[in-house]
Amino acid sequence: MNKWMNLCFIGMLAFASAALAAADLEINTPAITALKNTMQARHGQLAPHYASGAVGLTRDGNVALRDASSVPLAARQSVNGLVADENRDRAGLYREIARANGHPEWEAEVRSTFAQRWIDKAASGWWVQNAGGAWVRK
Amino acid sequence: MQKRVVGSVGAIGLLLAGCVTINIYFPAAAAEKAADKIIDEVWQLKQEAKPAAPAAETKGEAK
Amino acid sequence: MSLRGISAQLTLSAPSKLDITIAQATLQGREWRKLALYCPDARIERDLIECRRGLLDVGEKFPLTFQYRPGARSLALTLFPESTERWQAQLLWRGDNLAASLEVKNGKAARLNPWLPEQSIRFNQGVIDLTGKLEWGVQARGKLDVSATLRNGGFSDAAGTRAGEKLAGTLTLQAVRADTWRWKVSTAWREGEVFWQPFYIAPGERRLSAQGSWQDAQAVVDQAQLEWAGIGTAQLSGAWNRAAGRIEHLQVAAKSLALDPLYRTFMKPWAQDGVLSKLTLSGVADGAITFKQGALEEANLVIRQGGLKHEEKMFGLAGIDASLAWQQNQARENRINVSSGFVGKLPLGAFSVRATLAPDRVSVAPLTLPILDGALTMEGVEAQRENNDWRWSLSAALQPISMQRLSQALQLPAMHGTLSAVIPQVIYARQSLTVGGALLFKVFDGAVVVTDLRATDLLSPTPHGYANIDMRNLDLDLLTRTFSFGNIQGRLDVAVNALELFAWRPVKFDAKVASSPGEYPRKISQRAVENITSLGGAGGTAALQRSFLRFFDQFGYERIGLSCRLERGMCEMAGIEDVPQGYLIVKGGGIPALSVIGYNRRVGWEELLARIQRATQGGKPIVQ
Repeated sequence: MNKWMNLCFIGMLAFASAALAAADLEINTPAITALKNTMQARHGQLAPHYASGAVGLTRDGNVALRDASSVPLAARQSVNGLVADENRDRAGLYREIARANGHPEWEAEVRSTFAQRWIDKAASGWWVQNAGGAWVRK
Repeated sequence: MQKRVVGSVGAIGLLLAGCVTINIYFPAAAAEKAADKIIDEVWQLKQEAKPAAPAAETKGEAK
Repeated sequence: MSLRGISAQLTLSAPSKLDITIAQATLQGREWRKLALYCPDARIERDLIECRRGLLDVGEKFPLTFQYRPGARSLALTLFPESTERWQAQLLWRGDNLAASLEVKNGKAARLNPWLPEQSIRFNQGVIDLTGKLEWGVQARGKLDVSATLRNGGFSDAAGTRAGEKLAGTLTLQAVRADTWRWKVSTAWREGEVFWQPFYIAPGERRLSAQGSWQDAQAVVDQAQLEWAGIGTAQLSGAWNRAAGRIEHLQVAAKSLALDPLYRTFMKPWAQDGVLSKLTLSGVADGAITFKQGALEEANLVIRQGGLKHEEKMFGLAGIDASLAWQQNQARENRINVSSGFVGKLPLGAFSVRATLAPDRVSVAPLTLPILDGALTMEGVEAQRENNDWRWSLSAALQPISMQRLSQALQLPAMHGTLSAVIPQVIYARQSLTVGGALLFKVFDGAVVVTDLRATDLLSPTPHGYANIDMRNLDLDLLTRTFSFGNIQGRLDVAVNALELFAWRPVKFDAKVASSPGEYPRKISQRAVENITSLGGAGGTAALQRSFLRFFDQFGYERIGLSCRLERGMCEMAGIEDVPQGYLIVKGGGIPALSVIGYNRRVGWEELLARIQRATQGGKPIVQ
């Protein structure tokens, strides 16, 4: 059995190095570009809410309403809407990247990769969820 | 001889079955790179000049 | 209520001093530690204990006075937390009879926080005035009278997802106990706004009055009326099973509700994405719903003079008169009459829908939707609930629509002939649409067959579409005339295989255009030649114009053929056959004959589209 495991391991290594050499993921499909553009357009509206802490970045690759107290009551519904729209586009983005690379089953891994990178790249002062799910300010 | 061939075919089958995980290997580094590129664009973190659309070089000719 | 570690110290002097400390007190689940009451100016007499300038220390310090008369069995207690704020209570008890009264002047709403049923919510602003009287006696007799007003109230939870601001309102409650409590309440919300995710209630007047009874087993609302300014009035009655914690029964009925504010306030916030989140409604509705044992039992809705419009102008309906009904365990007839409508730029005529609605099944009687001078007829329209998802199926046919009227309505170049179609089976489930069999159209005197048509993720921002399209025997004369491309006579077959659309734009296909087999006149005008060559870029036209062929208006041809394989924004082109350095697009024949050869095999799709548009808009091709 041990022998098989070794063989498996070698097989995986061979595959891994081949895949690494194969380099970049395909992210230039019309679907991904379209999602990217709508998200970019929405970012102008979301950015002040990231900065004020009304909206934070979650550990599962989404955004969430964190503390809306600074937003006037009548505008909270629209912030809610922005959050929902953004999460819908993000779900679409993760799905389309997995699909564009011929592996729809990668969606969850694409999501978790993005989750980490959104948080890493968040500006200082923004609120993000740590591994335990608690909100921390960058 | 015949038996040995069957044996090794079986072994390969077993090996393949045991190594199914190979097929769903996830390219983490490439995904991270892709994520970075998309996040930079969505959040406009780096001002990149948009590459110009490739100029059409087509030439038709009638004869 | 429990008190622990009580100690009292009385110093008899003039004036006397009374200090009481309590180590731990609990009241209704709330706990205080180290409570203290200091009375530096106490009066202790045979029938009176009085504290005139006392101080209560519960973490916060409140000045207080109290008067206790053991003989008269009365206690009067007044707290002055702030100079204008007063909480005054009076208790009188004789045997089994108790009379209590409470009066609050300018009480801070925040002081109620520890007793709010929903502990995540806190009052952060607001002033309360309240008077209350309670009488409690033997043989289960009692009486309660409360009237209260709130001014400038504000509350919020930590995330701000449930919050109210500048709230003002009144409450009066009267209850009498004779064996059971009978109560009557009326409240009015006069000012302020509330956001209770996902709902936002704008400032406006709302009133609720209700009466009922309160027993150990259940709370009953005999009759209630809710008035909502801008929407209308609803009548309610029902019973809450306190033991089981569920609605025993509930009836809600409303007449002449304004549909648009009703939708905006209560339904739109639920419909986060999809079509339902972007509607504008008009008209009025009467509605009634009944719940029994925690579940919806029956719902009825009558819509009068209703209108519906998508905010992005995709579709709209006007003059809706509908009577809709749903009932648990029973199928009900539904009827919707619509006087007019539109889809995109297409107007729809009057139509009516008759449907049978059962809890997990909808079936619609054959339906005719007038479109211009034709109609879309649908049959076998059915929906079935499968695992909380609805699966719709139908078959349809498009009765001939004149292309002239259609092109006019769609603001396209004028076309001739008629459009008709047969759509054998359409299935919609899980945001995916699949057309079974072949979709048949007739246009430009030819036949169009669409197969393997399907669309996925329809409600998402990334809808995908797939199809194979086969067009046979299109009349090139009609086609080129319509699109002012320059006249070509002949017949054309077009095949678009493995078409993939994203957000309704083609991203991938394998397309081929070729002369149809058979005998027919084949002529191509000089302008058409110019346009074909311009599709391949500039240069060709110049060559043509320089040549002697420009003296002729029309040329004969033997075959036309062009293909484009679109992938990643690039069109891989080929013609009838390969020739040195290029491919043949038009193969000459007859006199005068002319051939067109393309040289570039890869053209950007967007660039090609722009060129086609330029050519078909009838303008002169740009010659550089």
